[in-house]
Amino acid sequence: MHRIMVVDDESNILSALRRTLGTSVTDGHDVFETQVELFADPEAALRRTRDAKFDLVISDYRMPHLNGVEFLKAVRSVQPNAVRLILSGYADLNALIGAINDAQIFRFISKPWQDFELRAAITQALAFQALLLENQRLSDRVRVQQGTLSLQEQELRRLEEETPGITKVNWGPDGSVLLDEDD
Amino acid sequence: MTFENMAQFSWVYDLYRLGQDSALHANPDVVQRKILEHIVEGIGADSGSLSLCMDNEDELELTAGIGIPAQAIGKRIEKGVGVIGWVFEHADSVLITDDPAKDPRFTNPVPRRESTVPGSAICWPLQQESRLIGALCLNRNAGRPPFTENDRERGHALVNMISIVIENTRLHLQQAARIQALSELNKKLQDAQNQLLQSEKMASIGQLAAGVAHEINNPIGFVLSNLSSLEKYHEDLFAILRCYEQAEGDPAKLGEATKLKDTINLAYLREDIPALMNESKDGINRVKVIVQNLKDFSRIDTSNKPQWVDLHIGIDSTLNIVLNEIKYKAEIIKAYGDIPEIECLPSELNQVFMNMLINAAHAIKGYGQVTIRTGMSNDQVWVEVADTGAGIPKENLKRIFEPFFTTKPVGRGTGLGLSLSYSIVQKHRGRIDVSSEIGRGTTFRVWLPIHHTADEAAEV
Repeated sequence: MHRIMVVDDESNILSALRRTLGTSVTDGHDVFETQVELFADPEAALRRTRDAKFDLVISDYRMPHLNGVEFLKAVRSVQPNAVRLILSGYADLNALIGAINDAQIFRFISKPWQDFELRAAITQALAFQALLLENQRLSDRVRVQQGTLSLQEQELRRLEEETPGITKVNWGPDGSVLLDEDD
Repeated sequence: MTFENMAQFSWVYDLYRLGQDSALHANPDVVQRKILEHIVEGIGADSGSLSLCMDNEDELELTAGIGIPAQAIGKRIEKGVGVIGWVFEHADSVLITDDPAKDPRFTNPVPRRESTVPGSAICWPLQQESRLIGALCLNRNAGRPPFTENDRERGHALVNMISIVIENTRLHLQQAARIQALSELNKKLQDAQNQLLQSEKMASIGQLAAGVAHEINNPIGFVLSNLSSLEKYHEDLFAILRCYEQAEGDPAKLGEATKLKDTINLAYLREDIPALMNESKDGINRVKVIVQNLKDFSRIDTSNKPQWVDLHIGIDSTLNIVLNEIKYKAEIIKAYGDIPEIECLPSELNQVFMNMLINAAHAIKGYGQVTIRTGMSNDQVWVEVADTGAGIPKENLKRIFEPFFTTKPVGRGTGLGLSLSYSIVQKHRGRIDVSSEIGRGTTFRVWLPIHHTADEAAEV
């Protein structure tokens, strides 16, 4: 189950997105089960991120009190693993720069959007997020195993220092071992 | 008639009247001819001509003639050529009682047939304060008593008077030409002003593009998305329908249909489709309204005729265009009073309102309030836009209506908004009051008369 937060001050946009993203999102290959929460007020949405974990946050840019970049920047500090997307009718260059540099968004989708385009962006974002999480899990596991790996690496480095090139083998095209002419 | 006539008051008065003739503006040639006719007749000459100095002051043009060949009229006469040229060059009058072709003083006089050579002629220079303005020639046919030296002398007094009349006509003409040039210039200025007005309007629409795009793209976005949701819904509905149709022929399949109905969640569709339709209709209507507002706003009032309009409608449609510029920066409070329709140029006034609204939004840092009030007192209505923004410093307050004065960053303001608003309101014979307090906000109030009074100065 992927949890998606949608923030837009226009309630009709929220309804439309609820219809599109409702219970599952598919790009034709992968199907992602979804659970969507809708917010018309970015401040309320921000409060919610402190209580519940989200995989994906989609936000409008122009909103009262808090614009999309400010909002997503705040979301990023609370939930850095939530992938961020902006869905906006218009943004000037400064807004785009802020979106990329500060809010570090995954995609900028302009309104009016095509549903298949939005779905593709969302499935990619969710796949990216899954990759990100897996990467973190694996890294953690590697760190656990790091003791053994570093012993082996230490020995290799010592050998390489004594006889440079000893840890590297030049394979010939026919599977033979090639030796340097110097030796 | 003789030279004695010139002393008669009524003759002089008629001459003066001719110089004042208002037909002059339309047709100076006719008037000059009338003056000459008056002189020829009054002095008892048989023919005559009037030549006037050209602009370059080296040539004369024969502008009117009585009893002389028609092709001579309009002819250029160089200084020193012929009798008239001689008079012009020497600034002296001359009496001729013989054929001028035989007179050594005159070079290259027009050769004439014996029968048309006048018996006698006098030619006077026309002078105005020692400046030569032309020459007057009077001829008497052979066989009549010739002009005498005495006539020439006495004619000088007459010629002075004629000079004044001729100069008068010239001044009249010059004045008419100047008025013409000035009104052309005025028209050009007015055109330029209108163009400026229009380009400012377009520039402000350009600046509003972000907001307008947002305002249009939002509804289009959800309507489009709703349509593809609806497409999915109707696929589901038809799938259920198909199942029921099969069940009609084979009641055993009814269970399957009921099952499908549950998986598809028909109850949800029944509830959601009307909502979807209503939201989409609302969206399309919003696009329609904003496009209409934009069209109204950018329209040029070609007729320039004042119309009776309800200002509230104009304010609301303008507000709709700039809504996106304001709604994220301020709460909009409307406090409309009871005002009558007024006679005005609505699209120009909308520009004034838009300017006030945008300025109000731009003045607000963070989030504030923009209050729109209307009301009337005596025979004037007023529209007020108040913001809770930064306020205008005293030293800037007296410059805000200057063209190109702006404190906004480059690209944000043209510096023409208020200056054009000022001229629009002036055209309506209204006024703009401003009060501002640093840190508290600014209030602009536009006063407009209910009845439009034409601006004569602008229409000449």
